[in-house]
This record gives sequence, structure tokens and C-alpha cells, in this order.
Amino acid sequence: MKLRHAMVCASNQNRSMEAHALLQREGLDVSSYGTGNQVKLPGPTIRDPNIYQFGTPYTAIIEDLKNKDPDLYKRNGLLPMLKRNASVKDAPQRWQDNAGDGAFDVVLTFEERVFDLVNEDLQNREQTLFKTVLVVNLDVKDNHEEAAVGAKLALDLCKKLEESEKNWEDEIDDIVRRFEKQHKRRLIYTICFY
Amino acid sequence: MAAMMAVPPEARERAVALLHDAQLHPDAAAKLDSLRELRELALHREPRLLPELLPVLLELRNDRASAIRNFLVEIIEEVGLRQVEYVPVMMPVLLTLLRGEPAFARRAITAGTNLFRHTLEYVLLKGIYTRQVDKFMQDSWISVLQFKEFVYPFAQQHGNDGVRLHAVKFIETVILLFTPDPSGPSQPPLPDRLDGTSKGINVSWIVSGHPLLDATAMGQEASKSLGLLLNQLRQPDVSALPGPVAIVIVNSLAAIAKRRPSFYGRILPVLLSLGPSCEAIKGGQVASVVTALKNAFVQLLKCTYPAAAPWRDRLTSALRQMNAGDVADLAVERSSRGGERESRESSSRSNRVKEERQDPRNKRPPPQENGNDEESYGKRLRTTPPPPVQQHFHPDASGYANGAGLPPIQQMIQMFEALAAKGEIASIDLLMSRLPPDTLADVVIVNMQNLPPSVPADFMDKPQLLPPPPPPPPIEPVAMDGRRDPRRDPRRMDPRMDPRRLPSPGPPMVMPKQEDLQQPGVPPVFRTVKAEPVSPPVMNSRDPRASLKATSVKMEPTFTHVKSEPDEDMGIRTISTMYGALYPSSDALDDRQEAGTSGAGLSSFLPVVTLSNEQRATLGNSALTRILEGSKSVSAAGGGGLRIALLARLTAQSAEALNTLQKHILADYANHMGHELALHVFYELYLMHIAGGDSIEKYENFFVSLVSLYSCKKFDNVVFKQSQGLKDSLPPSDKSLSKLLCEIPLFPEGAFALLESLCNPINEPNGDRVTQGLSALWSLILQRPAVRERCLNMALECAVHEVDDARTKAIRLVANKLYPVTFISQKIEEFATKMLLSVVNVGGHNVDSEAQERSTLQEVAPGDQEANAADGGGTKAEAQRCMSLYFALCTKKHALLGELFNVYDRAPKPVKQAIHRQIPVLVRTVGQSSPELLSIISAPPQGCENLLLQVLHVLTEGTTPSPELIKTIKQLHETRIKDAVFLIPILSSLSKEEVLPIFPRLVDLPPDKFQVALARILQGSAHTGPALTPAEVLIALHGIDQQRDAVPLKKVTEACSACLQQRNVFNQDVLAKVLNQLVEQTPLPKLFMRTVIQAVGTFRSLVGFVMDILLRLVNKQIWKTPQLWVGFLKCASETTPHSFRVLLQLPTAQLENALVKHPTLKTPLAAHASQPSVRSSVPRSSLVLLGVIQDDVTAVEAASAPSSSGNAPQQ
Repeated sequence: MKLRHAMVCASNQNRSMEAHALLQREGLDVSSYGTGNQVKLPGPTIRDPNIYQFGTPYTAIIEDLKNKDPDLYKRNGLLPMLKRNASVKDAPQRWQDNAGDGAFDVVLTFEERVFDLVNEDLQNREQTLFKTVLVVNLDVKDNHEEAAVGAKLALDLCKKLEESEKNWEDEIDDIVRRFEKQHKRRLIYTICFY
Repeated sequence: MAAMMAVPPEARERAVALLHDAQLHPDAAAKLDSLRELRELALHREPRLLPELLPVLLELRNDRASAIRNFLVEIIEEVGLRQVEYVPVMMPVLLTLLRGEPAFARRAITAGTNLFRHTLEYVLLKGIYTRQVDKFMQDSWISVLQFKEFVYPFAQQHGNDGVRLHAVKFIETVILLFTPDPSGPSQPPLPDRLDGTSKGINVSWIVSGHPLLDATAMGQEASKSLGLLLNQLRQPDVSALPGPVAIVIVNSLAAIAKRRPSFYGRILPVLLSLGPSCEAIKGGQVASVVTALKNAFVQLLKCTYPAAAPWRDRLTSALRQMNAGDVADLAVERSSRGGERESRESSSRSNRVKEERQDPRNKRPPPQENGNDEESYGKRLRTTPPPPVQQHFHPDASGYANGAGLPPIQQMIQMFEALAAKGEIASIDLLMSRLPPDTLADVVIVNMQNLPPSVPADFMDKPQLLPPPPPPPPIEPVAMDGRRDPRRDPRRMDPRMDPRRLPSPGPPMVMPKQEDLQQPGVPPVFRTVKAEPVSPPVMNSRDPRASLKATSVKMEPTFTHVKSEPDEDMGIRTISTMYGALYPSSDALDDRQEAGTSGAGLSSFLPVVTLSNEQRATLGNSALTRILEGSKSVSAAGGGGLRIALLARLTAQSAEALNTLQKHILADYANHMGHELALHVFYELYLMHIAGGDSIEKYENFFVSLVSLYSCKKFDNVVFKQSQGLKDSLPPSDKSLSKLLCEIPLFPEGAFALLESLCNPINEPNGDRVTQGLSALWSLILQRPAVRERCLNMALECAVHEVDDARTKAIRLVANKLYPVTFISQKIEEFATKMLLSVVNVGGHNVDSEAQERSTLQEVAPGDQEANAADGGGTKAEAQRCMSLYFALCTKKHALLGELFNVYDRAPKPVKQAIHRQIPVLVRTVGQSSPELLSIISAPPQGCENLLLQVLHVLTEGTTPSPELIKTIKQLHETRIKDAVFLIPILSSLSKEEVLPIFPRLVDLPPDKFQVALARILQGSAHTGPALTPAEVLIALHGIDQQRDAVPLKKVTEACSACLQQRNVFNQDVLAKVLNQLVEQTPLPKLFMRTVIQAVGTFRSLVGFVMDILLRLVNKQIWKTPQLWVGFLKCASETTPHSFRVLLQLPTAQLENALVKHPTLKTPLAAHASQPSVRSSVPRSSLVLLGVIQDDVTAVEAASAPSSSGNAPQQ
């Protein structure tokens, strides 16, 4: 039986989408989300970011940015990223509103704050299935290069978890230890219930 | 069967076919397909097939394919959720699967958890509606309880962590299900809205009774289950806890604490004790456990109910320690911001609803943060129970099936009225027994308007306690405010929270609350009252209250007269206003009579019974007990603070009430808010004392009985075991006693006795009490200046206690905690010095201290057998008892060391022994860099040499002495004490140039000391290597001049021997090198020949080398130095035959001399010389001397021989 994975970052644009794209290519069951209140993308200056609601299609965002300053957004890699995203799914999704998407087995977050938010959200949901969900945090900086590295790490971790064949609850410490040793990256995990 | 008949034949056929397929198919995947279809058929399309199919399906448990068994678990879950009555049949199968492989066990627990919840929901609701038990209910409930018993142990132990996780989650679910949810709906949904879908349940619905379930027992069960989880986080279990299990337990506990305020105080201490590092938890992923703990703390910090408030500081500091202080600040800021905003809001409407602000229940969650505020830490947690919407008071609450538009209270009253009109008292009883206590209470309150017009005589008897009812006007504004939303009336929020309206357990007592407040002396209103039908709303234009009712009767059908003022002032005044409500002014009553309603008519028949004093007391007491028992629901609802204030005021009036309260407090100190309660009572009693009402004795008595009960509860094992809750809530390090002592208004005399007994563990094998007593003293010293002195003295006395354990603990307290406090350090120091001097001065000054010192020092080394050698100054143990404190202080203030050295000289022998025994630890703590210690070393007081020596040894033991220390010791040696023994500790760090000048002094030491010194010199330091090589040592030894260096020759020879005994260090190479160098010296060292002899005696292989030396000596005319000549000959005689060659080189005169001294040499020497090869090289005269050749010259030679030998010295 395959595990259901969720990749979560703040805006469901860069890190989670990079991982989503990669895991999907590798044939894993994967979704992706953001935990922010809105989708934030870099703007012309650090003080005016581009803000969209979750659910705004990636194509719509592309159009909007193209209208604003095509050169800038091509240069800083936003447009290529958004095009990639559009090829994976329609629109950024918000984690807190994903109750309808069913229970995941593994949730991978790319930032400790996101991890905490996912954790808090899961604990505050009404728990009816008593099904475990592993939430793991892997710190990845929010830029294109690091996101690519992070996605590969995410893939490796998820494959390791898949290999444990639904028995990760017993082996999680071991899996995490092996991953940390191999990649010299620190992981934090917790176990919640649906 | 009839049902079976209705199953369409084609469905049945299809089912049979699928079953066949499933049974016959060898391939699991195909089998699964058939089974899936079968499930679809049996569960969704034709549920009537289920009874037939289920047994066949359950047989699948023996299937070999795991996928099939997994599928079976799914089916069991699904069937159970749809049809609870099948649960008993399926449960045994589920239990079998639980025993199987971990994968199934996990899945089975998940399924079982769901079934457990669902079954409980079913049983609970069905019981509420039908009020009876059927077999299905009972069987289902028993079977899920079996499951529970089966799974519980898994949480503590199971080979598979995954199974444990699920078992822990199951326990959490059980705890949440078994305890009332303060934020959940307080009323069950109506039966007709029950459609099988899960809506969640609340145990509080069955507090008043349930045919099958017992809410109290469930509460106890939940508390026990919680203990199970908590224990796993305590030592020693926690050390074996795997990471994932620890994380899940922490998460579960946080969830429970968040949702069940009553458990908050039990869970938090355990979580906090895990500490910032979780070091107790072994296993790999500690960081994850720490994060889980941090998140738990953050969530708990956001809880806003009152039980959480006292923990906030500890949570914040715990988070700070975890480097999550920013998160903590954010959470605190948010909750306080919420509070401020709220108080702003409420002050804006304070004119209208003054009381609302003070009511803790009115805290509603602050508005949601602005969505843009991304830095804010996520959504604010909704921990504050939202103001429970009392549906039956909602004018527009829809969904009431009868659709009459009347609030249920009103309906209820009408129902009562109708029944009363028909005189069906039995039906009224029945109706009442079904009503939830809240509703019943409301009915009664509404009904109070109909109390008898004439006030019973008893009420008037107590004017001093309860002033006559004040005129109504002050209350009017509240009642008059037409805009006031009835839902905002705090009393309406949740009836359980109003202290005057605590739920009485069941119907028997309808209005115990008023009596309790007015106690003593107010007779209860009897059971008959409750059957009183109510009058319809009074319409009277003259009475403003009535006019209010006319406008808003449906919204506010109850008792609007009572001014709610739920703050601490709510004392006599409120009670009196209640009087006003109970006995309204006569004209109002008259009006009502005029109205001539049937209710008023009925109420005039109220019987009034006069009670005896005992009866009154008993009733009062039992009422109080009921109030106390209601604590759980009150605190769960958050009304604890007000309740406590009221209880304290109430009970302070009578000794008996105090007694009852005490027992309640002690039954569960933490959960009953024992501290707050006791404190309030103390203040109340104190106020009464100050006001002159009572003697201070009452206060004292309450204290004494409280603490004595407290300690008995706490330490008596029998009681201890009985009260499991107490054990959980009061860990051994419990601080509640000291907290209480610090905060009570007046410090009672009895407390000293208590502390005294706590700190004197003579009959107490267990040291817990001492710790407790000491920690109480500590807090008192810091926080109660008035008793500081006495407490400090107590702590100090304890620091010289006979019992080691008590003393050690006390010393730790005094030295570590109290001594740093500036305003008492002086006193502590004085005491410690006094104790030190007391043992020192006991024996008086010893004249022959010198001799005694020697013996003391020697006795220190062998051990402590002499401990009891008493002479004048008491035993060594006694000395140690009195001095330990001083020693402990020395580590804090090094300057105190000086006094120790000062008194050493005159201390009696046992004291010296004790000092020698304790000083190593002290000196090691102080360290060699302490300037105070160095200054003592550089200028030690008279007579403390032995002590100083030990100190130096301890300081240099195992470490390299610091440059300052070396400098100080050298200075000491140069200026004050010439004894080289003080240099030994630093020898290894000295250079060759430094060692050589003092070397003679070292040689002059007793042999054993020299050995030590030698070892240090040869060992040297790690940086510079040895100060002297073995060869240099020997050469230095030989260079010692007896006169110049004032070292007796004997010492030098002993030293030499000592060196040569170390054959490994002073090996033959070393010796050869040394001898080679020495032989070149002029004059030769005195001990040279001795060393040569010893060398060749130790290493026979050196003999050839030694012969060369001897030859060189011959060349140096050794015979001219008589001392060495003797040695030379001795050496030669001991090294025959090798020495023949040398001997033959001697001039004939010396040869003759040798032969005279060693006659035995002659024959073998002659034999040697007569060998032809030798003979030629030997002088003729020598040959003649040996008698090898005989010739005429012999006579001449013989004649001349005396002269030549006589000449020899002259040459």
C-alpha cells in the first residue's frame, strides 16, 4: 500500500511545489500545501510583495505578473517557477483548509514555523479516524537552488518511509537517524492523529 | 426470519456466489475483489443480509493472506459503526487480531477505538432517552470494555512502538470521552434528531443519572487512565521510552490538559518536570521530543481558563529555557492583549452590566487576528469555552420540536402547573427525576416568587447575621434595563457556574444553596416546595419588576431580582439582596395575592418545620458537603475563584464546617484548589480575629489540624495508597506546604512546632519530610521577615543535626541558597564560626601540639579507625557534625578558610582528624587559583603545617600546579618554612635549575618522603619532562657534601640505595653513564666505590665495564685515598676472577697490601698469573710476591718488600 504524502511550505509555490513535482515524477502519491494566510511572492521591493489568495490559479498569477513587470519576474525566476507549478496542479492550496482531501500518512514541512502550524492545526482538528500521520520538518531555505536540493532530500526520505511498508511507526527513529547521518541534515518529527 | 424473507432472491444468490468465489479462489487479490463486492452488497445495498453473512465473514480471521485479514478489520469497523448490536459478536475476533502481527494490532486498535467511541455514544444517548437498559446495550458496552482492558497494557509495553502509539491514543480518547467537556453542549440533542450519525457526546449529560453508565465511576476511571499516561513520563519509566511513544504521550497529555481544565494541574507538573532538555528520555530523536514538548507548552500557554493561570509563569520560563522565549512572549502577549481588549469592551458597557466584567465566564475568545498578520502564531486556539449557548433561553432558538415558541423552562413550568392542578404529585416526582439539575434549579428559582407571604419566625431570629432585607431600589436598575440581553446575564451563561446554584445531586434537595449561604440557622425549605407549581408571569403595572416581566417575560422568566455581583465582595450583601428576592416587600406580595393566581394559592400551604440545633447542624453540614462535592463541575466551568471566596466566608463561621472543609481540602489538595481554599479560610479567620470577633485560637486550631492532617495524609502509607489522586498530584518535592506557610496572613505558633518536627527526622526513615521542612524554612526566611530569625535558627540547628541525611540537606540549603542572601549571610557565618570554635575550644589548648600533630598526621593516612578515639574534644564524628557547615561555607567564601587554618593548631586531635578528612573535598572545590587560599599558603598561621601539607598535596593531585601556586609555595619555602617537604607537591613542575639547589634538602627528608620526592622529580610535568634524569639524580646524590649541605652521610647512602633498588629506572645504562662521569671527577665522590659495588652487585653484566673503571682507578692511584681504596679492594674481591687482571696491574706494593687485606685472593691470583699468557705482562716482583717464580731475588725482594710497602703511602 502506498503512503499518501503532503509537502507543505508557507505559500505552496517554491519549496513544496519543487518537492511535489519531483515526487510526482517519481510516482509517489503526493499533494502540496501552504500554511500562510495568503500566497506571498516577491515583488519589486521587499516591502511590496505580491499577495494572492490561496486558490488563485497559477496561470492567473502568471498573467498578473506578466502585466506588472515581465522582465523582473522572468529574471528572478518567478515566472519559470509558476509555469512549472501550473504543470503540476491548478492553484496553490492552503493546508488549514484541506480537511476534505483525506488523511495523509506523511506530511513533510520545510520550515519549523510551518511545522508548528501544521502540528497545531492537526491537534485542533476533530480526530475521528485515529489514523497516525507523521509530520516531519526539513529546514530548506526559500530560494530556488535550495528548494531543488530540498526536493531531492524529500524524495529520499519519502522513499525510505515507503520502504518501511507502513511500519514507520516502529522504525521512525531509525529512519530519521539514517537520514540525518547520510545527509547531515537535521530532522524534527512528530506524530499526530486524524 | 421474516426480515430474511424480504431479501430479494437475486441479491441473496449474488451473495452466495460471491461467498463461493471468495472461499474457493486461491489468489488473495481475486478473493479480495469478491469480498469487496460482498461488503458493498451486505452493508449498503441489502443490510438485511448481514446477520447471515457476518459469521461467514468473521471466519476470515483464519485466512492466511494478510490482505484478507486486514480487510476483515475494515469490515468489523464498518459494521460496528453502522450496527452497534453486532459489536459483541465481532469483538472476540478483533481481540484475536490484536494478538497477531503488529500491523493488524495497530489497525485493530484503530478500529476498536472507533467502535468504543461509537458504542459509548450509542449507549449513553439511548440510556438518556429510554431510561432503561436492554441486552444489546449491555452486551455492546461490556464487549468494548473488554477491548479497553485488553488494549490498556499495550500503552505501557509492547514490542512494537506503532502499537503503543495507538494504545496511547486510545487511552487519550477514553479519558476525553469519560470526562465532561466544559465547552461542549450541556444538553443532549433531542431524540428525534438522533439519526445514527456521530454528534459527539458529553458525560455531563448523565451526571444526574444513567441506567447503565456511572459518570462518577467514569471520571475516576479517566483519572486512573491519566495516571497511566503520566507515569510513563516519570522516572524510571521515562528512561526507557522510545521517541515516537514519548512524542505521542506528550501530544496526548497536551490535548487532554487543553480540553479538560480539571486535569490541567495534574498534567502540567509532569510535563514541566521533563525539563528543557528531556534528558531523561534516552533514545535517538530527543530533538523531536523537545519540539513536541515545546509545542505542547505553547498550546497550553494559550489556554485561558482560570486553572491555567497559575502555571503561566512556569510555562514561560520553561519555554525560555528551551530557547523558545519569543514564542512564549507572543503567546502571553496575545492572551493578555485579549484580556485588555475585553476589559476595554466591557468597561464601555459597564454601566449596563457591571457584573459581567468580573465574571470569568464572560471571557470570550478575542476576535480573530487580522488575516494579514502572518507573524502572529497561527490561529488563536479556542481554549476558552465559548459562552455556552443556552438554547432554551434563546428566544429565537429554533429546533424545538414542539414549536410552541416557548423556552423549555416555561414549558416545564406549564407542565408542572398542569400536573399540580390535577393533583398528580406522583407524576411531578417522576418529571422532576427526569429533569437535568440545571433545568430543575431554574424551575425552582422561577417558583420562588410564590413563597409564603409570612416570613417564618426563624428567619427573623438572626438579625445580627443577616440584616433585614434592604429596600428593593438598589437592585432595580439591573432589572429595569430593558435593553439588557438576557443571554448576557452571567447567571444564564451556565447555571452550573453560579455558586448559589450548584447542581444538587439529583432531586432530593431543591434549594440547598440559599440555606448554605445563610447557614447557620436557616431552616431548609422542604421537599414539598419543589413540587410547587409556578404561577404564570405576574402582570402588575405597579411593580417595576412585574412590568419588566410583562415586556420580556419569555426571555427572562426567572428570578431577575437577584443582583448578580459575582466578585469577592459577594458576601452578606448579596445574601441580603437574595433575602429581598425571597421575601419581597409586602405590597408586592399583596399584589400577587390580589392577582389571585393558582400558584400563589398553593404556596400558602407551605409547611414550616422548626428544627433542633443538631438537625440544623447536620443539615447544614450535609449541604456543605454537597457544595464541596460540586467542586468539579464548578472548577471545570471556571468559577473556582468566586466559589472559594464564598466557601471560605461560609465555613469560617463554624468549627464543624471548617472540619468538613478541611477534609475536602486534603482529599485532593491540587484538584480541589486546596491552597487557595485554605488561604481564603485563613484570611477569613484572621479578619474575624482582627475584628475582635474571635480569639486567635480558632486560627491556630485550624492551622494545626490542617497541617497535621496534611502530613498524616501525605505520609501515612495506608492513606497514601487509598488516595491515588493525592499521590499523583503531590510529588515528594511538593511545595504546597511551604507555599501555604508563606502566604497565610498570620504565622501561627503551631507552625514552628510543625517545622521543628519536619526537620527532626529521628523517627522518620524517609528523608522526604526533611526536604519539605527545609524548603518551607527557605521560603519563609525569604518571604516572611517576621519569622525570619526563628526560621533561620531552625535551619542552622538542622545544619548541625545528628542525623547525617538531615544535616547534609540542611547544609546544602544554608550554603547554597541562604548564604548568598546578603541580609542573613552574616548571621550564618557567625553561627558556623561559633560551631567551629565550639569543637576547637572544648579540649583547651594543647601544649604538646607538636607531638600530637605527628601522631595525627600518621593516623590520617591509615584510615578512620580512630574516629572514636575520644579525648576531651568529643569524637571525630561529633567534630565533623559541627564543622561541616563551616566547610560548606568555605566553598562559597574562600576568605573563611583563614579561620580554619588559624584554629587548626589548637584543635584537639579528633577535630584535626575531622579536618583532615574533610579538607580534600573542600580544597578541590576551592581550587588552586583562589587568591584567598594562595595568601594563606604564602603566610600560614603557626602550627598548621600538617594541614597545609595536605592542602598542597590535594591541590596538586592529578593536575599541574598553576604558576601562581608554584610561586607561592616557593616563596613560602624561602621565607617562612624551610622544610623541603612542602616543595614535594610542586617538584614535578620545577626545572632542573630549581631542583638542584634544594636537592640536598630532599635527601635529608625521611626515607619515605624522599621516595615520594624522587618519584615527582623523575615524573616531571607533561610539558617540560622530568626535572632530573635518573643519571642526574645519582650524580647529584654523589655531589652532596656532608659538611656544606649538612646532610648526614647515612641519609645519602640510604638515598642511593633507594635509587638503585629501582632497577627499571636506574638500569645498567644509567649506572654505566653515571659511573663514567663520576670516575672523571676529582676528587672522587666519597660514595663512588660503594655505588660501583652496588652497581655490579645489581647488574652482573656490568662487570666488564666495572673492570675498566677499576683499571682507570688504578691509573688514578686509588690507593692514595684510603676510604676508596678499601672499597676498591672489596669490589675487586667480589668480582673475581674478572678482577685478577686489574689486581695484577697494581704496583707490587699495593698488590701485597691487597693480599694482606684479602688473603684468600692469593692462591687464585697466583694461579691466574702463572698462566703463560698472563705471566709475561706481570711485573716480576709481583710474580715473586705471588710465589709464581722463585729465584734469588726473592730474598732481596722479600727484604725490600716491607720498605716498598712502607714507602707506598709516601709516594
